[in-house]
Amino acid sequence: MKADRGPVRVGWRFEDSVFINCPFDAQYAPLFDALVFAIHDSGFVARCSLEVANSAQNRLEKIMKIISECRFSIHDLSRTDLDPAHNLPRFNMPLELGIDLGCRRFGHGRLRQKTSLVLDSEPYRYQKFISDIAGQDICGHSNQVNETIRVVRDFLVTESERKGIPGGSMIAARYARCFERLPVLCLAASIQPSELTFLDRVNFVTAWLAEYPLSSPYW
Amino acid sequence: MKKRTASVSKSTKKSTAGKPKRKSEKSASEKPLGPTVRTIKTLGKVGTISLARIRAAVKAVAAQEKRAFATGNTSSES
Repeated sequence: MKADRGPVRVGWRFEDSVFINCPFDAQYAPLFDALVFAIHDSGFVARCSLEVANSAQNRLEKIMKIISECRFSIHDLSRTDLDPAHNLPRFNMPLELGIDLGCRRFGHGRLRQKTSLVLDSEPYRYQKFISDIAGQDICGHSNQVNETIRVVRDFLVTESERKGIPGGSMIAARYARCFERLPVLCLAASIQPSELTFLDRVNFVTAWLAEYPLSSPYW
Repeated sequence: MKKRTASVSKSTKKSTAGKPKRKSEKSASEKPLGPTVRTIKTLGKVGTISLARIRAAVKAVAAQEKRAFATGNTSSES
């Protein structure tokens, strides 16, 4: 991939990749956007199962491949409520958390370096439905965008030991600015915001970040 | 088992004097900080809109904002 992307580096590396395991519903969308923005503004690459459109590939295979390509993972278990239609909880997110933990435990080489952040709406709620992970650090985000950005940024800084990553409040302010402009950006690109796919949103975010670096007075 | 080691005799060593430095030979002050520097990265996969169209849209809106900033009209609604 040698596309001219300006100051953006194209491609992924194991140590830059962050797997996102979260709900993809409309209600969660602002938190999902916040996760993607915080990851990219911190200099990492957001990956999730939505990046592959190949329906010939088995969904679980697709997820396992991406998990094995990511050093970092973020699992949000905040949507374990009962589905009103079927009165059953959704197990996809705990399943993917389990695959990720197994990948680190039984994998070889670089897979042993994998680290995970588990998010929930409240810090100790998980003990009621998935008590086996009681030894893990679980962070509560209270369904708040700014809190989600802060915990994700702090996790990436701590685990990667990288320097030069802006603070959580700075990233949150930039996120608000970027997504406030999204309708205008979409208008300029002749597309409705509701029509954007995961890859489109990521590409808008990275294009915006490249155009408005931290040093820019315009953002 | 005896280990094989690569050895180069002094006479066959090539002189590097006067040659431009390779990337890996740059001094510490010349080297970028690598992973410690925050660089914006992307997967590079294209969704439903081309990367060029997205970049052009962002650049157009940014130019408009910069013009507004320069003229003192900092209202974000344009």
